[in-house]
Amino acid sequence: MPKILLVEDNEMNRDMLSRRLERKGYRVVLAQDGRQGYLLAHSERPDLILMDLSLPVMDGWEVTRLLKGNGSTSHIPIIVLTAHALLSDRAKAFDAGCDDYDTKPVEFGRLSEKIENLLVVRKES
Amino acid sequence: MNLQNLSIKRKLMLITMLTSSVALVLSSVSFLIYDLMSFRRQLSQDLMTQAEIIGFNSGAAMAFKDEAAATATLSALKAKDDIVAAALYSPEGKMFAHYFQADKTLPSSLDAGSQQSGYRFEGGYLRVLQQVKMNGERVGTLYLLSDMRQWNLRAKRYTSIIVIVVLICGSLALLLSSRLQKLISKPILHLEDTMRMVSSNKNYEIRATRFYGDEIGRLIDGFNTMLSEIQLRDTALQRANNELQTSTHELEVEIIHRKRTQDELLTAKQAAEQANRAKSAFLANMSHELRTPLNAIIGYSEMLEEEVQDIGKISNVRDLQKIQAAGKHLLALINDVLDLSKIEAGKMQLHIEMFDIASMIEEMVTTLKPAIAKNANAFQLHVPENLGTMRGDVTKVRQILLNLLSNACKFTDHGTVSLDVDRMTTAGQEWIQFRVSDTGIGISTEQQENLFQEFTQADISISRKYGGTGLGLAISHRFVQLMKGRIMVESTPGQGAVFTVHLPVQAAAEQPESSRSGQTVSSEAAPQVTANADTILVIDDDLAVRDLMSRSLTKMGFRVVAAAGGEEGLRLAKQLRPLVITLDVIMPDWDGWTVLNKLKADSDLAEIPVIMVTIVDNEAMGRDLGASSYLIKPVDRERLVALIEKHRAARFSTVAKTGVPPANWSSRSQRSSRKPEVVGPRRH
Amino acid sequence: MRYLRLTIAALLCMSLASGGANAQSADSSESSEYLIKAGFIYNFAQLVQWPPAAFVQPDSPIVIGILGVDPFGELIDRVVQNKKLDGRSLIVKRLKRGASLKECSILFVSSSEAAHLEEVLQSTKGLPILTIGEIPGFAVRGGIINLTLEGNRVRFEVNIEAAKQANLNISSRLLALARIVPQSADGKRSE
Repeated sequence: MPKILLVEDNEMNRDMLSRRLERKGYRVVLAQDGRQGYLLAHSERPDLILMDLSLPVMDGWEVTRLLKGNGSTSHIPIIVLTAHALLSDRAKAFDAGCDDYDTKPVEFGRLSEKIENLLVVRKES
Repeated sequence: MNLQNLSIKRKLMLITMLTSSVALVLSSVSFLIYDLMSFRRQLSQDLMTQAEIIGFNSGAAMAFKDEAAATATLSALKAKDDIVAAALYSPEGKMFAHYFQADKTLPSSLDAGSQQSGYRFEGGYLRVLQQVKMNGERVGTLYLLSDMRQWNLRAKRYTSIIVIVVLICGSLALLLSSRLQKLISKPILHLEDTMRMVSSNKNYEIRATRFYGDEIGRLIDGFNTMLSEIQLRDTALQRANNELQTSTHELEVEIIHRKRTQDELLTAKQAAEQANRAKSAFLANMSHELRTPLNAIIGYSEMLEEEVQDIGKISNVRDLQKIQAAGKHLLALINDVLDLSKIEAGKMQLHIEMFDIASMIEEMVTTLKPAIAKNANAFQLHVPENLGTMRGDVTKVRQILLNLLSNACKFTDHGTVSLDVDRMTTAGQEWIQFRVSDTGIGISTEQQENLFQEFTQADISISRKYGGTGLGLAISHRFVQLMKGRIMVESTPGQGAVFTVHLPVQAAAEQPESSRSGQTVSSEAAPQVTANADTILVIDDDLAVRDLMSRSLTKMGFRVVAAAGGEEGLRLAKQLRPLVITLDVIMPDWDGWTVLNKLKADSDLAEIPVIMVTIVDNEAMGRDLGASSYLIKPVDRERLVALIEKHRAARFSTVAKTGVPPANWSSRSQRSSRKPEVVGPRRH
Repeated sequence: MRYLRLTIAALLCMSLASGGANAQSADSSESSEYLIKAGFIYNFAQLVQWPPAAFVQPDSPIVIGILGVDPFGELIDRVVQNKKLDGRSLIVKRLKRGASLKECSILFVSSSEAAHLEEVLQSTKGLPILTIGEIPGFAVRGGIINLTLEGNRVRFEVNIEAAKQANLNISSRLLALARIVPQSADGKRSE
């Protein structure tokens, strides 16, 4: 059962997403802000991280960068969730090192597919 | 004493006196001189005669050398008191007899040379020599000396008379002239007085009296006329002055009003700016605020649906689905409304990037599957190989296509919906053509007219009937406009519809209009020299003209760069290699002809067609120097655009198609969203 | 002897000549007197008018006769030489006693004829002849003009009557200078 770390500050979103993921069969770890996310990434060693970009304390870019910069967490695929699909945001995200992005509001089906892709890849690698 | 500055009176009197005195004196003196001279002649002749007589009378005495007798004869001269000395000389020149008066003497001998008869005036005396002859023989010489006293006396007397006469006449003249000068001076003095009065009192009603009908009288008339004129003008001036004051006052009031208005406007502007900022903030916020709860609604209902499905409570599932549907519908509406608001507010921005068209379409089509299936339609996709990439806002392109396709699916039942994508070149530019056709109900001509407008009656009823927001086409249309493309519809009711969208392969980033040259060059512009098809370079020193040209041409879908002068224009031309250059003639520094010459002289720039746009009508010169067209201001916009389009067509038919896109375009999104395994052949 | 006579004659002549010269020189003082007198005579001729009958022809010369011993010598000739009065030239003639006097206009009676004065004057009576003498009493006795010597001066007297009788008109100018001498009561009147 792959473990997914969900870093999302919005309670409802967090709730919805985590439950749906669990239903899908994933184990979900929740973080409410960037810093927590970062810490949990280290401690929990998830298989995938879903990162909302607009986070309090530390924003998604920062966290992604840090995680990708850190040897122990860099392997973890990160999907950033962004409300905007701006080129600049995307570029920024990719520069930070994320593996994929998805837009909000989340279309669960699409997101699942992306998650599966990354997990498969990872598995294969 | 400065003669020039004497008063008129003095001058006149002086003139009179001088002239009359001079005349008098001259005439008197002339007469005097004449008289004295003739008197003198007379005297001399008298004396000569006397000498003759005495000579004659002395002849015998001289012949007989009768001294006594000779002396006696001479002494008879006593009677003539002007003869102061007389002497008889022997033929040898020795004084023989004499008569001396008043200690005047005569020489005791005469030399031969002096013995001729004759007279001479010497030192105030008249000397007469007379040869005394007897029977033609000279017996002696008579010498008479006269002191001319009669003459002197006469001269003195006459001179005194003249002096007296002159004095008397002078006095009379003085008197007369003093009286008569008034004829001239009085009116003049009066005029002077009048003038002084007028100027010191500024009273233009005074008039000078005319005394006589001579030139001075006319002068005075003239003066009076002038005064009348001045009076009139003065009055008029006063009036004008008053009016001016009134006007000034009114103007001042006006200015105060304007200032107030200006202040109000400023306040309003600031308020508007603030409102604008508020609007942007609002839109940004609203977006988020509106969507968030809706997303929760949709999300939860989705989730619940899943959970309920697991449980198996089908009835709940349907309810939940309704909630979902409603929520999604609401979300769609909100999105559309927000989109439109953004567009209306001018805040809708294009986010240009290079993307692979085929991949985008594939993705999009996937999401359409449900919609297609809904009405049991068949879907046909025609996408050529090597469709390649385009530069544009992928999100918006996708949205447009989704909109058109979902419409097609909605309004077609058991029919076919097709999407044909093609790359084409029209009017010298590369386009991507998207054709969405269906075999659905079609659109009536009436409906076609208002198709792309928001909130028209038809749309609402249709949207009610067929779902959707009714805003989709409006939004698509605006998006297409924003991307400088075209969207068209053809339809026959009952036979389906065809929506065609042309989008430029190279979308220009939306740029703020600027009348400054150079600064508008986009950082996204490819550095390659293959020309920027859209750019028009406007060279004109008049800001208003540049502005106008920019705005009109930008509306037509061109990118406009403006230069204020020839130098700047040339630099920009080199930098931008525009499609067309419009060139004014009358400019400071370099005039249009100079610029044209330089453009044509530069091998890099010579190819660029130049359209002269000027008030000067010198088409021949334009053609000679190599301008391709010549327009006279004010410019007919249609004509200008037609010319530019012509050039565009001409140019791009000879230029190779834009080549491979630069290597650094981002394709990660596409890459990661595609399942690595699914790298099959592209669907057609 | 002859030679002696010749010599004496020569000497005499010489002395005479010298005497003559002396006389001449005496005469020169004398001759100046007579030069003056000659001049006077010429002057008289100028100041006297002859009647028309006195001359045969308009250009008949005025003859100045010198009766008796000529005291003038060539002086008078010189004086009157080439002179003309009224177009008449003046000729000097020397006349001997008893010669005809008719042709003279002027007659100078030399003092050598003093003794014969009456005769001379008689013969000239009524003729238009200007008689001039230098004999004292000449004028009184009927001569017209008498030259006198007063001191160094040559003066003259004029007898007007005699002039009248001779039909000669004497200019007042001349008369003004002359001493008028009346006809002597003793003087014989012409018959």
